[in-house]
Amino acid sequence: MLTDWIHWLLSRTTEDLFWMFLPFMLFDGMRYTFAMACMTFFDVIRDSFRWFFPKPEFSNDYCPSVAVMIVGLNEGDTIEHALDSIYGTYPRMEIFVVDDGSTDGMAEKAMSFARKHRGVTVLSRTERGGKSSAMNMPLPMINSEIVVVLDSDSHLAEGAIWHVVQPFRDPKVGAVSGCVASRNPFVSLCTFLQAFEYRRSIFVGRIFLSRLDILGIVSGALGAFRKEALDRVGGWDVGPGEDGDLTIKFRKCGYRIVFKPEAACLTNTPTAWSSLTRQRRRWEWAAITFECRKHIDVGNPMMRNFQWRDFFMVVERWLFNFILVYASVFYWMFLFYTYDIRTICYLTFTFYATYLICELFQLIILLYYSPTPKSDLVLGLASPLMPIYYAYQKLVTFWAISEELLFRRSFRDNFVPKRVREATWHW
Amino acid sequence: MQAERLKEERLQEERLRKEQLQREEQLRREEHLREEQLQREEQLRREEQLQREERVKTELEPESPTGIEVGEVEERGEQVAPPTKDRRQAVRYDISLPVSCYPMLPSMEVDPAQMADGIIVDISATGVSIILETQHVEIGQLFVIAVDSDRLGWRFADLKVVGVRSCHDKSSHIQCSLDGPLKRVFSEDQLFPILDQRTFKYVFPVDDRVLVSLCSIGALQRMQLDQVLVCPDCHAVPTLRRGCSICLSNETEKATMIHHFACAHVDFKDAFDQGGEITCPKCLGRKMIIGADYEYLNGPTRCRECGHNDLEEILIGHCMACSNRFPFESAESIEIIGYRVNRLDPLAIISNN
Repeated sequence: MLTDWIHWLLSRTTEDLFWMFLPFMLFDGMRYTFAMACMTFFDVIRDSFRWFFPKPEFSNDYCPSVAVMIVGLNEGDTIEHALDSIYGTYPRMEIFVVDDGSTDGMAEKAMSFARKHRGVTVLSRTERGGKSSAMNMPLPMINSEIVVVLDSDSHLAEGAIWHVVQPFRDPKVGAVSGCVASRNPFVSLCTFLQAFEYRRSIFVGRIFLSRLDILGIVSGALGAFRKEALDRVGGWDVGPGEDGDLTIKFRKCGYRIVFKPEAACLTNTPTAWSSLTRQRRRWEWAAITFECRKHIDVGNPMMRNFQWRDFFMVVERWLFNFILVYASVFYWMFLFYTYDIRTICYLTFTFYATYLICELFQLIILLYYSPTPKSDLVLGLASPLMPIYYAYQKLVTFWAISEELLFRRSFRDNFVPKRVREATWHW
Repeated sequence: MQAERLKEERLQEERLRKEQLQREEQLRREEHLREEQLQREEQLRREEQLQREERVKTELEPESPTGIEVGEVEERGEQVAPPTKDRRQAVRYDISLPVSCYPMLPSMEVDPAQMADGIIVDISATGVSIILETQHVEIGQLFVIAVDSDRLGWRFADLKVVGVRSCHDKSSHIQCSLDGPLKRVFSEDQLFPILDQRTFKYVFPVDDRVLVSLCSIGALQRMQLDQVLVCPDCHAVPTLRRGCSICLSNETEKATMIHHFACAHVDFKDAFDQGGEITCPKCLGRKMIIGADYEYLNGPTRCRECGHNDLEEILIGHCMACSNRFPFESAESIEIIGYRVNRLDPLAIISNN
């Protein structure tokens, strides 16, 4: 079978090979492999130059006042650990814990921590009101310059708050995204693959998007926002996908969004395929709601606050997350319709091999940038399975986009309580 | 005939009635006699009881002098109180009971190092005679004795020396009355601390050193009465109020917030109040209906002085003595100590011996 496939591949003409690899070149090769290879190439040259002619590095001495917000629902088990991991790591810091109607004693546990530690304020509501309103709740009480948002099940790496506030030296920077990594990579195959995906697409991917100034999301697990900018945009709107929505609102106001890879944060990823599918579907519904409906004006050059970087950001999202997903699915349908099953098998092998080579290539890029190459090398063992994992993700994305575009599935999502869902605007 | 018969019947009826009345009268008299008898018996019983009580009283009262030669006491150069008439008249019982004697300093403290062993040779309701085995101990005017009774354990009494006589076998014969000055200390109201109105601290009515010295010989036993939280600086009792955890002010208010469902905006109620109408400051939504468009939330407790917000107020202590204001969780915990006394009851010793 393998010999047959090699013979089949070698017998292809150049034109055949061009048409065969065109989808790959369009879908994933262009976005990640080639673009990142270019970025890495320039960074290697830059770093080599600095090695010979060293420049003083920026020190983490910028110290604005910071308010850390931890919002959670039934996170009684993890809240104390999260508070322990951040308390005392930054000098000018106040902490706000918001309990969005928990029934597991989350507020009481946070209160017991607050009694022993100064500067910790606990806010609690009796009934769930949704994540956005819970995050907006402490805003009228915050007098700090920077607001750092943290998930209650997240664990900050050392000095994460110091790192995440440094880009705010630049007054144009409105928000900074931290680097989210998996906290539970070895629980199941599902978490192992996600762990490598997070390193590849969040760590390296966002470095790349940040360089191009087209970063379209600030992680909910660890994100920092300028308070003045938050007041200007009115805080978070009703979710799901409120992180992406807020980022676009910041962009519309003219602020820059920056990624800070040194500000690391570990978070729990879904352990079962069903919950992972549900999570990804929700992300895609939010992407459609905000990028294709609510903030479609970002791509309109006639708007007063139009900026090309925002335009490229949404174009990148539309192209790779929506248009090429459909193109990819239709391409495979075309293959199945046109070719016999043997040829399709050969094509599948070809694509798998191509993607595998790209994965290994990206692993090398990841190891170049990674501050923890050994652990990333272990995660790199997932590379042979990643092409299959991405195929699964494409199918989930296709499903989610279709149901959102055709049936507005997000309207029925219980991410926000029913009374809020019925009162809010549906984009 | 018929009229005669009727007459006879009437006469018979009258006779029967008279007999009935006589019987009733006799019963009444008997009852009266019985009551009188009972009253007499009761009176006799009372008289007997009174006599018995008087007899007991006369037995316990001193009837003879202690036998101390005043001249001998004066020879030793000690000031000895004159014997009272009551003590001399009390009934004395000869016993032989080992006893430990602790001389008392003028400050009423007891020195355990000066302890001397002795024997109680006689005892009455008001005094005792003790023979000390040594003459080296300086017996002042006052001292405390400890008696080890098999049934009662160690019992203590403070004594007032009324006479001291040196014997040939180098022992001292001491006559004492049981009405020593520590009677006041040994009373219960002196052994429990009270809150002083000026210093707001728990203090004893008597000098602490006296109690500690009495405690060191076992006359008093320490017991924990309570555990109270006091000012960490001066240990005075504070007053309490709820207030701000940052500036410790009691000028706080419970804030109310509004959550506008449509735009997820949450702010204080004042921010939504624009010209008497509830208007969302974020999306400018108006004519909102409570429950459908917005809800009230229990906001944090807001400090009017420093503006700090918190879910709940904390307990703040204010020291009445030094005016120190502190979070009550930092208050110091102190034990309130009282004393229990093992008092010597002469009558119990008499009955035991």
